[in-house]
Amino acid sequence: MLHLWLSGIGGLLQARELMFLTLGMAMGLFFGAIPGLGGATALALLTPLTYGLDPFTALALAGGVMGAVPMGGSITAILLNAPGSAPSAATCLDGHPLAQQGKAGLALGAAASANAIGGIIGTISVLAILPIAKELVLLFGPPELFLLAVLGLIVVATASRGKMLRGLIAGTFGLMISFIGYNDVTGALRFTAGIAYLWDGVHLVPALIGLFAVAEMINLSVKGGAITKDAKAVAITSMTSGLLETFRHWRTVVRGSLVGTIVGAIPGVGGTVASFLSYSLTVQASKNPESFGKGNIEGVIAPEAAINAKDCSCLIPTLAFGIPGGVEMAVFMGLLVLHGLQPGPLMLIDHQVEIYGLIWALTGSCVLASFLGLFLARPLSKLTLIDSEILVPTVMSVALVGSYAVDRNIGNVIVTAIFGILGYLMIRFDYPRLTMVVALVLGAAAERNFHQTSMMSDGNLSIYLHRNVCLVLLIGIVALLVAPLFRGLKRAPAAGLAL
Amino acid sequence: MKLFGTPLLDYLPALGLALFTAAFLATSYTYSAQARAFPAPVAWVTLALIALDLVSRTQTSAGEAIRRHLNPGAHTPEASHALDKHLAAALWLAVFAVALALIGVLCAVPLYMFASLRFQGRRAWFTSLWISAVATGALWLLFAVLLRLELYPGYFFGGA
Amino acid sequence: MIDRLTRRGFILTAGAAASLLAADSDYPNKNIDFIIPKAPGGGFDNLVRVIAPSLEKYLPHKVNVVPDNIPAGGGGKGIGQLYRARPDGYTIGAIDIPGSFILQERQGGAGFDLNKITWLCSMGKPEYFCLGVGANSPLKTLADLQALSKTRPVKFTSSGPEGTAYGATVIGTKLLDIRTQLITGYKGSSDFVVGAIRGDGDAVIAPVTSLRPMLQSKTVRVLATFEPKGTFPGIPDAAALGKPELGQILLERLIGAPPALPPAIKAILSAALNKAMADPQTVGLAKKFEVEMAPSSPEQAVARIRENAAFFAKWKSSLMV
Repeated sequence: MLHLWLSGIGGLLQARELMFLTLGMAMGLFFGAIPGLGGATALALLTPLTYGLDPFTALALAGGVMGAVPMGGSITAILLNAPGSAPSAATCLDGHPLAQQGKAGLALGAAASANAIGGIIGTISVLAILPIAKELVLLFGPPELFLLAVLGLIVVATASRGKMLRGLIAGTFGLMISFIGYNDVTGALRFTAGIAYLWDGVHLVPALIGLFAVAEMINLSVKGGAITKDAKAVAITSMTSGLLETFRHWRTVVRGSLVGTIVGAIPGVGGTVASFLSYSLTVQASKNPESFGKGNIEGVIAPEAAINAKDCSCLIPTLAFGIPGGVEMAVFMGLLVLHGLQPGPLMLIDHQVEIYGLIWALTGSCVLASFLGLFLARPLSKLTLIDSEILVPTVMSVALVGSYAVDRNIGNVIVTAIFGILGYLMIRFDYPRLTMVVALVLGAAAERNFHQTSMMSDGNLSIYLHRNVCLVLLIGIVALLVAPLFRGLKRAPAAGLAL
Repeated sequence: MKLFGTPLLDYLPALGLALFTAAFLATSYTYSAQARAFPAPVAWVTLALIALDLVSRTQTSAGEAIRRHLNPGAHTPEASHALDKHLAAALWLAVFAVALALIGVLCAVPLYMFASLRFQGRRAWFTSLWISAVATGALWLLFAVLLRLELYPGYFFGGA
Repeated sequence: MIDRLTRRGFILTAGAAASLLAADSDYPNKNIDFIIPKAPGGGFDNLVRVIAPSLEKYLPHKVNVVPDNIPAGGGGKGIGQLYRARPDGYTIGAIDIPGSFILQERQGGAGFDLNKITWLCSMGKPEYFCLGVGANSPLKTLADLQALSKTRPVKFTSSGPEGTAYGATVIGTKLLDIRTQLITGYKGSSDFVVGAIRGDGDAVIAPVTSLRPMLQSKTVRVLATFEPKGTFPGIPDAAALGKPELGQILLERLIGAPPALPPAIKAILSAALNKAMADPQTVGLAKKFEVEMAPSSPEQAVARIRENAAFFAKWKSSLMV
């Protein structure tokens, strides 16, 4: 296996491949930063340009794009609360409050370094599990995916400590929205009010652009001023301060990377779940959970580590069985096909060097993009000093046009506007957006997997007790539900002693 | 005016959600049993949670207990800005979105940017003009030229 | 049925197109939207993405052909959008038959009538289906499956109730006297085939091109093929099973345009599409996933639809459950 790894690196370390890797990295960074564009658009545009290239070079270019997109998304998530892609929305939760405190440079530096380290840890994990990739993908069927969705929802709901009731309401609201559209199991169209646009439900990326970017711009428009008023803090931003914070919180980085690696490897789950789950678990594990959402640097490190770790691992279901984890992977599969590489079990046997080359390209691009992010941290943080009267209409225009550009559908603009107002109301009336977003992502999949499990087991719920992975997940669910009780009991005697 | 010691306006968010959920629930019962197997129970649970939320907003002992155990960190927003500022911000967004749909990107964006800078931001005419022109040009360059994306022409100009 | 199709129709159309080309020299002058009513990443999507760049080469003017995935509503939204688009040659779409007919019936003709679509050509030869189980399945032969069905319904993984695979599964199992229960809701062929491998269900009926790579990697075992003359050594085909009707269960992929497309533009598109499908790059790539490109005229495409629709109409009551 080592010789395959080395062949992969060797193939990449040629002038032409490195050039295309760098080009892909630059494009990924740029596309990742613009809300609504992202890696899928970049890959779709590049695919025709790769016709004359040999497969290895095409993969270097694609890896360059995919590795850099998360860093691009982090930049706008932190500076403008405008997630460049869906997974970056989790970075908004603490990244933008840091920018508002004049610490955008710190947040960008932490994001860049967490990105790079998360990507490296993700790569090492994937290299280790690639030989058993097929078996891993086959471990997760509808029962496991349903319980995973339940686990994800509970993690996120219990993370909104201090606001659990409102968190649960936001979560169930998100679930209701997720049920809009065509139901794959029954073939029924639900809650569409006859609107064709809603046949495939509320589109996620336009909704997130609204919930975060547009809502924040409404907020800024009402408050006035700039994102931050602390010009002095922005001026003394050090490139290395963010880097040091990441090393200080190494446990958060490792946790986030492992969450990203595991979630990314599960077919059909996607990066948004990885980043939000990593964030929520970090909140749960923290001694100061109430500080999250107000500019806790761990709230930036956790999702960023997860996002890049998942980039490598979500290649597993894509390459092993042709099951794309998201739109970006689906477009990437199209590029593979054009170069005669058909995703499937045979690809893992016949094209190992190419696969390892791709993994190294992803990692290299991620590290390069992170360096660039570190380098640009201070100049970019000056964007937070721009007056809202100029910033708000500019960001609104980019957000709404970017939302249209997702799939050239004007309905996206309406969704973004509606979710923008909804997001603003949620900020004003103190309902957490985190639980709603995760429920929106997981709801439809949870329902589909539940129905499929019922069909598999003829409605017998004991199926969940007869599968090993399900048992592990059930234990996790029970532990999460019971943990707050133990915490409360632990605090009570201490309070008694204090008295 | 107050109800159980709380201004009526403070109940509005929960009541708004309850209205949406009730409509959702009623609609779910028009579908087959399998199709509503998930949506209906979720809607019922939401209504129950909203009921708890409504009680938690009251100044009663039950409300206090729910707040202490389930919502200790939640806050009721203070009226830090006049209502018209919030409405104005939402209206600008709504008008811009509708304009995009009706007259397209290349007309709506410069108009919105100019109007926002001039009338909301109170910038000078010339400043508003050149910023709008530069921003629109940059968007056109990025989406139409670099990405070769056909910018939406607007419903009135042939858009679908 | 496939052998009866000749190249005569194609040559006639190409000739007509050549003369009409001179008359309509403006078209096309902007991007052409190529609607794919399927999720990205599947075989259907891949074929369109292989054809699209070649199509750009053979159009009279340099424009982009932009694949546009619109999988909502089981594909109904994409087909509806194609149907309602302006008949100006700037929107075409790939449609799978007979899945789309099943869809039209289920959704009450929601917004489209496939009989009114302007058919341009077919995208490769039709595909047969075959029946497989996971490599670790205790079922070794078709007889095992049929024996199992006497004790309980056999569970087949499949797409939603609008897909061609769903139709193939319902009809195929009826012809083979297998009592069936479907596990639906998978997103695409890769998904439901993997579902069978994983053991979600007992078996799967999928296009030959979907199962063959899995067979080669030893993750799947094929128990029967619906081909009239089998290409899996040692596996019974439709003739050996005494069920020639199995050979009429086909997956066809056709390319169409909105109703009332002007004849001149129809001829240009049809000719360009056929040239694109004969392009060596397209042929080579399509061969990699076992699709054989075969030029055809619009008339031949319509004839294929009529045959297919007639066969599936016989099974309407089973499919609409």
